[in-house]
Amino acid sequence: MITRISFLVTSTRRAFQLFALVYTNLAISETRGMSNARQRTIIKVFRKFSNSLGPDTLDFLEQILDAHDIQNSDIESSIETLAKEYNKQDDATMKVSIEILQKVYEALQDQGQTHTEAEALDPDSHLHFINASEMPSWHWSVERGTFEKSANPPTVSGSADSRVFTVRDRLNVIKQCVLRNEHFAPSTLPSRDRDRLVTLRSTKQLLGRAGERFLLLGMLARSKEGKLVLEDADGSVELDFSQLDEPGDGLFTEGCFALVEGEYTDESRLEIIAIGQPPCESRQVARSIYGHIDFLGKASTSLLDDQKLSVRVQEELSDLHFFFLSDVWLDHPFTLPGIRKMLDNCVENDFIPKVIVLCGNFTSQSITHGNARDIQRYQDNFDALAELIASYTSITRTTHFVLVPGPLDLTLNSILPRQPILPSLLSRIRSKIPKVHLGSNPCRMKFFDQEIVIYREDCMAKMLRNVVGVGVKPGVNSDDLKRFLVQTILDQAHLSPLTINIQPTLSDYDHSLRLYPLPTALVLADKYDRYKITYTGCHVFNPGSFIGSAFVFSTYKPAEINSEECILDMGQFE
Amino acid sequence: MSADTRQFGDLATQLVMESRRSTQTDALLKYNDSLVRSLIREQRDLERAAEALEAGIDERQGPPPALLIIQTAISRNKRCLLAYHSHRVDHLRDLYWAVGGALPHILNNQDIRSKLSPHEVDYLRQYNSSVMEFRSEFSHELDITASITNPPKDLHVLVHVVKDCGVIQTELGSIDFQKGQRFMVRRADIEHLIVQGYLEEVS
Repeated sequence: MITRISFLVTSTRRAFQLFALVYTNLAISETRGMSNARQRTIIKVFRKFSNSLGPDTLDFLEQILDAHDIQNSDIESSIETLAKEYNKQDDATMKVSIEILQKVYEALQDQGQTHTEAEALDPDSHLHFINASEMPSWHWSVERGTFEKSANPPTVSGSADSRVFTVRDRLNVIKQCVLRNEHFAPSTLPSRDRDRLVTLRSTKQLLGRAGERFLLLGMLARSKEGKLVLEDADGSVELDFSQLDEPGDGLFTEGCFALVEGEYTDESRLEIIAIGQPPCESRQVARSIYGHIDFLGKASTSLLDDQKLSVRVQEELSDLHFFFLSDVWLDHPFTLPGIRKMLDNCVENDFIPKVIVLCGNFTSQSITHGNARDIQRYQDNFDALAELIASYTSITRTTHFVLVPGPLDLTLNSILPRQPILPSLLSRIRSKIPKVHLGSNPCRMKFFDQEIVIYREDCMAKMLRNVVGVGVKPGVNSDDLKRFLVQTILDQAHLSPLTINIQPTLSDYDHSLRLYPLPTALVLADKYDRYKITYTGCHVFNPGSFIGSAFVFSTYKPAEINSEECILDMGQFE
Repeated sequence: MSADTRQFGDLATQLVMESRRSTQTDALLKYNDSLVRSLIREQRDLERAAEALEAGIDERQGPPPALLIIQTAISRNKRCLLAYHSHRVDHLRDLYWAVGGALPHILNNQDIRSKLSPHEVDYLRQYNSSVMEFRSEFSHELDITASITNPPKDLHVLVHVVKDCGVIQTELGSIDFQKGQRFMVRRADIEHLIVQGYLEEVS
């Protein structure tokens, strides 16, 4: 036995002799003897890929070989397929990790490539639900000019630094987009255009240059005296709106970043000539620059793979749908019959959605100050919903249900991002419905290459209430307002472009509210009128309240990246 | 920036200078996405200017001299862009071979990763799969990722563990590599661990 073990001690240096002896003994005691021929093949194949195996992974691989009854002659090719796929993973390590290997093995089984030809896409293996707390936090690093993972684990309280950095992150993300934009980057050729372009300056450069024109990017905020100022990374300047006729498109709220052009006056104020939202960058452009950054924490995919997948989704999954319902007031007498009608329709027409997202509020009246009976009723309503959904077995088998809390629902915290609804209230739902996900607000869905953000907040009212300066552009109708809201949220690359005294956020989790790169679709569930708008390639829609003059909800079709509104007549209930 | 006068191709020079710095310090610099983008924009502007000139060409006089200058600027910019990218690709390939073709080792290194553009990551992945395919034909006889500067003289080697790597299964059994220990092991079993910096040879 000993002779076969090749750990020979050389006593080249006396000082290490003793050490070496001790550790050699250790090594011998842990040696489990010679590997058999099969293990040797496995080790060899992985060594070819510069990987090493631990005993657990070796066992796992042998189990796979046993499970599929693979002949000795085929071992090498099968293991090689696995090793190849393993090395394609983004988080692959030198020493093969069993979790990643398992993931790879399952993925291969789904694709059916190990044994048969590639089969149809399996939507379930590419459908992920990501809560706000699960997203890795990426911060913009000014020194490196790219995103960096934050070193400290996020806490609920957040540190003083993190409060500053969240606002700076918002500024920097917008700023790097602006600087890349063709309208702001000066043309490199000497031409007439070049004189007309105003380059972006900083408030630091204003001092002593009264009478000159400046273009600044900063946050609209209040100074200590309560005056409206523009604040950027270097300082702030008071704004004078008296010369401004009308602001650009969009809603300019306190806490919103704006591009401001104006003349600096002797009273050290900026006389505004024009104010506008920063430009927005499409998902494709952002992905082509930061494609290797895994913003969602579900392994970044390469651009090439994404392109291939999106074509396949269009071709093969054209009949796949997601349902979005908002303001599902479970205490309203019509809600449960309405959901029943909706599910009945699905079953009758054999039109089973892949995902049904139910957004809050799950109560029509606030019960945060309510008594025990209110809360008991709230829980009973969820139980009734569970019974209703569970009675449709054909739907619960395949459909994922997501519950997203609204402003009035009972959650652990009331500031953004909100934790999911208290699981203790949903015990029946969790036991009756197999595929239920308790989403945070906002939460995200990753479906193949698509990212769908679901956010339930009364955005329109909140934004309009906090508009500053000269207000909204005069003479706009409600269609314009909807467009302005969508434009503002996407241009700001943030779900809540407000200061923290208006809308408090958890500073360590602020990255979960960031909309950069732009999602494929954004669900802005709101009590306001329903709408759907596509802006810079991002499809934004509001499903509207479920209960109204009819039952209304939205269906989203991933193959077309488009949503449709669905109206179910509530005639029989009236 | 808008005030100073700039010649055609100044940006391209900056880009090439960056490559030069990278060679001199033997370091991979961050992919200069913004400069590449503005260069491409300059190319587009130049092309537009050239097209405008082209439209007004007089048959008898031949092309105006300005067109030739623009043409030269365009091809110089193009050369600089290609030089920058080919220099980076060379550097990436050097990195790849320096760790013995262990791609995860490069991509998991946050410092390197943050300096790559997504297209470079795609490139490395495809390069890696091509190398693997090529290697697999003769991997039993020859390991082409082995170091060529220090050819092995012995079948066994005395190694010193620099980084913990836990229990590793080898063809002759499992070894628990823990930091600070020394082992006499078969060279072929742990060659890749030496290359990736987990083990160090004791000479």
